[in-house]
Amino acid sequence: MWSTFLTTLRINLREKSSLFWLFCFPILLSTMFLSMFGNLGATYAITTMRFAVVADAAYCKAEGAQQLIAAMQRTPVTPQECGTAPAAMDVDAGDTDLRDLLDVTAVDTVGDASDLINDDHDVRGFLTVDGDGMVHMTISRATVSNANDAMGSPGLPISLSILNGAIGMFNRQTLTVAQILGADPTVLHDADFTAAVQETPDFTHQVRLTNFKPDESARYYYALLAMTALMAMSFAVTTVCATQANLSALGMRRSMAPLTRLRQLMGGFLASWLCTFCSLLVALLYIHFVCRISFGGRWAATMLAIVVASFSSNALGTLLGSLPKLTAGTKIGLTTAISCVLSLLSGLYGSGAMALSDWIQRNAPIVAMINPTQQVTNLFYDILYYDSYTPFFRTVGILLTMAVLALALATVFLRRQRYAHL
Amino acid sequence: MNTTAPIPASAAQRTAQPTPAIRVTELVKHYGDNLALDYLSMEVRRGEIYGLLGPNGSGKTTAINCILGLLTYDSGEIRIFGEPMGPTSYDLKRRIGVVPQDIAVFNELTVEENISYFCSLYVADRARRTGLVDEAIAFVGLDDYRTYRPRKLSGGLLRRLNIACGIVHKPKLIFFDEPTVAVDPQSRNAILEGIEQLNAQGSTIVYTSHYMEEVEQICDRIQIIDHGRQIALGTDDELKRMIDVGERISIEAPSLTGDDDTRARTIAALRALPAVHDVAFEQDTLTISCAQGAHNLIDVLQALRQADVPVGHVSSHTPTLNDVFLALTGTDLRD
Repeated sequence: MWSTFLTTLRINLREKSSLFWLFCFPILLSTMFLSMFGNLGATYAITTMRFAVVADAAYCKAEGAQQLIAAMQRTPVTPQECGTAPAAMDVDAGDTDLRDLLDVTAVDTVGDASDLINDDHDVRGFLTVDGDGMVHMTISRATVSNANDAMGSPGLPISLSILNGAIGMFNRQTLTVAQILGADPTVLHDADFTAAVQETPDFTHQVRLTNFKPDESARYYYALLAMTALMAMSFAVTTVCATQANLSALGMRRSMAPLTRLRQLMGGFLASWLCTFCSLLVALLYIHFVCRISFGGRWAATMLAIVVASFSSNALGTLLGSLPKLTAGTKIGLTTAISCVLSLLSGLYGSGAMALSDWIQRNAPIVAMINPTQQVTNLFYDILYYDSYTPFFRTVGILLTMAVLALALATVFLRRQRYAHL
Repeated sequence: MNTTAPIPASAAQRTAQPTPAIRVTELVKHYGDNLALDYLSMEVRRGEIYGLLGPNGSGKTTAINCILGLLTYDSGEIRIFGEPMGPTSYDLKRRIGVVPQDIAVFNELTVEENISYFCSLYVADRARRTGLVDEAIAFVGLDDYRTYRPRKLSGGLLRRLNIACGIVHKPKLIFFDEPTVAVDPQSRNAILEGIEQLNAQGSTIVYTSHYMEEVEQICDRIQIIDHGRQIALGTDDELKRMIDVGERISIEAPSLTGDDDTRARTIAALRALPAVHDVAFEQDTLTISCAQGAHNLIDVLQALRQADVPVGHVSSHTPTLNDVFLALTGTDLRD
């Protein structure tokens, strides 16, 4: 068994196509992901937007609006027409620092503002204040176009959205106060009312549900690890085929050896398992250290994950290799096809596939549960996002159950196999 | 009452026949509706080179695979060294070596690694294995190619590697299934000499081939099979004695080509000779099939001189196994 283990190890590590698909391909694909998703984090970061402010009489009169706009600048600009600038409003935006949101240029009229945004596409739009003190935002056509290209202008859509949200909230509050005062001006003497007006409304608050800050791109890398694991089924498929007399002369020669098939298969299985583990380890280290994808710092669990993933994939490969009445070529072809299709269902091929994966998870959880690529993806997902290890060990249990079933079936197929044809 | 006198042990040993290396009794094997082995029996004696001769598709490889326990069969019995052979007969397998028709080595391993691996399936002791591997490499003459991968070897060298992997554990019974297919004459001779050497060292050999010259050259006994049935069994001489043709004489007689009368008269005169079975004339050459006899050539040449027919090149051939096959089946072995 030991010599079969060493020989299989040698064969696997010298087989150039296996080396490419199981060691180079995941690194190439990770690198591709890195270039594709590198800006994905920036999509959710505030970007400073240049805006014009129409500093007309209405603006100068609207102290609240000036305070709001000042709160969204690092160095508030005070138009000369308005005299002394009011203090910046205290805006609670959680962890987000709104002072990086705007870089303001003051102009005299709406016409000047329009000219500016048409001439200088770096100026995203302009803000005006009406006679009631309401703030209005206008954005340029170029900005509309850029906002729809998240990859080209990362951070712009979210920044526009934040600005729009802040203005909307300000306007609603201003309108509410104005209406109340219109109905009963005496409430101004009510300390509770004035305190409530000055208080920043706190309609939402941030709650961290996951162990780590969500990383949108991490799932793709996890799905890639799952695909690598499944592709590595080819190690076990080849190993099993090489022991079957009906598939090759090599199998015939090995079938004639006095070493039991179980021991030959065990040696081959262990070697294939080790190769798969190494393949996953190389991919995982590259993904972590080069692509900067986190595994939550839980290295023991991460190592256990790739041990389990590689074991399961080899168990499934053993089953595939043992299927009767199929040629070795067909089995290898099936390995590739199964890996590719199951990876689609686990979301590897882009946002559409990821949406499909989520849909399956919600609407057909059984399909997700029996999909080994989904389960391998879940292993890493569980490690990153959950405080508790319970979901991780549940996934480990599912994969090990699959592996045991696959090995049991393979044993049925391979046990004392004799052939009517060679 | 038992009236049989007890036989002393030593006498019993002297009279007892040694257990044959292989005994196959009425083996039947179907591939679907096709009958591949038709009550085929064989007995391979220990220490002999047993040839299994037949055209392609005659059932040779099927018979071997059934004997080796690789193929299921419908009925019959197979015993190797007196014990029934099955897929889990590991003690028997340890004494058997197989050189399959197709090259059965790992392309990713070197010559030495391949031989060592196949040896390790039979021999657990590492030190002993090293010696056996060296011996096998020297035996097949691959010393200069130890570190070569199979894809860098020529067809002949590959065949030698295939043989080394099958014999490295020094088996007592070795099956060679068409080991010289697609091999150059030099390598073929080296392979045949190697097989004879293995036999001289005590191994029983079962050699299957459709090359009758090889079988004639090295086999002690030959079983001719066709359509899964035994056609004939015996030594080379015994098989040739089974047919009437003892000698085939070819004589160039170009003068007979244009002269129909003389040709007919000459052929009639030759046919009148007592040992002559048949006479044919084709492309300036007379082919005369004779029974076995010491004076056939003299008699034939005398008849031609009397007929006043000048002769050119003369040759005499003893019958081949192809003649035997032709006589017994009506078809050519090479067809």
